[in-house]
Amino acid sequence: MLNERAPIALELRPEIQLAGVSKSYGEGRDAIKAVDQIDLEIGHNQFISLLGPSGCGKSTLMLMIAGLVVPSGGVISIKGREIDGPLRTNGIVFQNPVLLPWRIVLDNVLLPIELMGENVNKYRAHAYELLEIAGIADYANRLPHELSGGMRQRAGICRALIQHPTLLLMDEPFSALDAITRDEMNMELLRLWERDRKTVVFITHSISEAIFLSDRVVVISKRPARVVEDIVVPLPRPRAVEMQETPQFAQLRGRVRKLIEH
Amino acid sequence: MAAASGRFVYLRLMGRALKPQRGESWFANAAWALALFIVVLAGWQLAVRLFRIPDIILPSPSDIAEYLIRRDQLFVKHLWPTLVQTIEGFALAVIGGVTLAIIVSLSAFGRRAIMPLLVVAQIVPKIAVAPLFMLWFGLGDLARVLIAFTVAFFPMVINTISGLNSISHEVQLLGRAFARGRWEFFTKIQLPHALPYIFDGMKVSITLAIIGVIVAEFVSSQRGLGYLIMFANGQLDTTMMMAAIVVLSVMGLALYAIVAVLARAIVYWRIPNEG
Repeated sequence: MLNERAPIALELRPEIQLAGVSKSYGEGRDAIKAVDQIDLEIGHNQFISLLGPSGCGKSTLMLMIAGLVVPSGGVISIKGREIDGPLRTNGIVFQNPVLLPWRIVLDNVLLPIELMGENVNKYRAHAYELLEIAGIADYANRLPHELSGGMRQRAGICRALIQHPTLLLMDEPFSALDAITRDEMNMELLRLWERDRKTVVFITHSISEAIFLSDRVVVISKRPARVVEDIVVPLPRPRAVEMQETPQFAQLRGRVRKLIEH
Repeated sequence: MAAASGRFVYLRLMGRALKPQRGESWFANAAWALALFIVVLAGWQLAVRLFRIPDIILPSPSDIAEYLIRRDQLFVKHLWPTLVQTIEGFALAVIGGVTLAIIVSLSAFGRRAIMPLLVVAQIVPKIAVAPLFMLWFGLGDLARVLIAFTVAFFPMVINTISGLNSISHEVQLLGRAFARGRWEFFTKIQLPHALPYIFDGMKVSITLAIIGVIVAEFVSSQRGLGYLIMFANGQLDTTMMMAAIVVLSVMGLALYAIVAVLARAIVYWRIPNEG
């Protein structure tokens, strides 16, 4: 009996746990606190947004979860294990897609595989599949500069998904895009997420984007980053663009805006 | 590093200055430049004839051309050693410069110990060591090749280093997240990223290698275009001197063009954030 229960108990444990996580840059009196004592639990397959003003330290927070920045204090665990470096089960999307200009789109998507020193051929079909889903399969053999900004960011997302990550970390991925493309990309991201729900940590400074995409919106204060409030988004899934016009959405947006202004 | 980016910016500016503006075509602009060149030559020719300027002061373009054709074997004979030594010095500078740059950018020792020395060595006027090299390496080809190498070496090192070190923060994070080791990051990301910088360095280097060889030939040699210029100077044969300069310029232009064509073929992608 106990053995059968064990996996269920594991499932219920949060996927990501942050306990008293802080980050300061510099030392002594000149030290700048970027992140201050953050406690946060993120459940398995949850889509969570970290929402805060620009430069509030939320990107630092994401990089710490990614294992790319070492916290000055506190502990971050993923699946119950304290992390001490980047995990290969993480996918990362940056604000700027940073595709390598000399590689065709397909080879850019396969870059993490190559860097890991794994067999690229085993992942080629998966790369095509991802490009297909992202709607840029026709551009697989093009160089990045031949693509529009939106298409490049799609390729960046494909690259983040290539090694079947269980956790997707996205740092303001659509903030460099125009409003129309951005709405489009949000819808496509949700479509992609509905296919195989991964745990997503999405950094943004757009209130509507955070509410529209997420199960939970964690409002972060100005620097140093602290958790102001943790809000559950009660909107049903799958989400539709029209939901942004509902009174429920407007009410939620108003509430979050007040929190940010404080 | 300031010197490096300075030279880099200089090349970019030159490139942009040559870029046709909206509504212009490259060929049309080249035609304009050629037209101006012909006008200048014609004015020169006319001035020499009109004011009866003596040959020893300024020979006319037609005199120079006629001299070039009449004594073509002389120029071929002296062009050859200059060309060969330029290419040898340049090749050494490219190989040595890229190798040293890789060492500097990959090792802490290189960054801490070699880089400061490189920056200081930048200040030394390399041409000034030419007589010293003659003393050390004799009066043969070797000394001239090494002088060309010394002069052409620094832009190669500095440009390659700035290429290897200018990886964007995000790409570095990607590398840290996924690269199995330093080698994967270097071969898949750093080296290809540095290629455009390396070719920019080569464009500077090839012209400097020519200067190195010519100066070395000034100092001491029995053949080569530099020697021919000094010889003509001694003979007060200004026509021969200017003909040698023409041959030298054509050689320089051709070598530069080869490097530029190679750069275009190998760096087939567009460099992001240019300008």
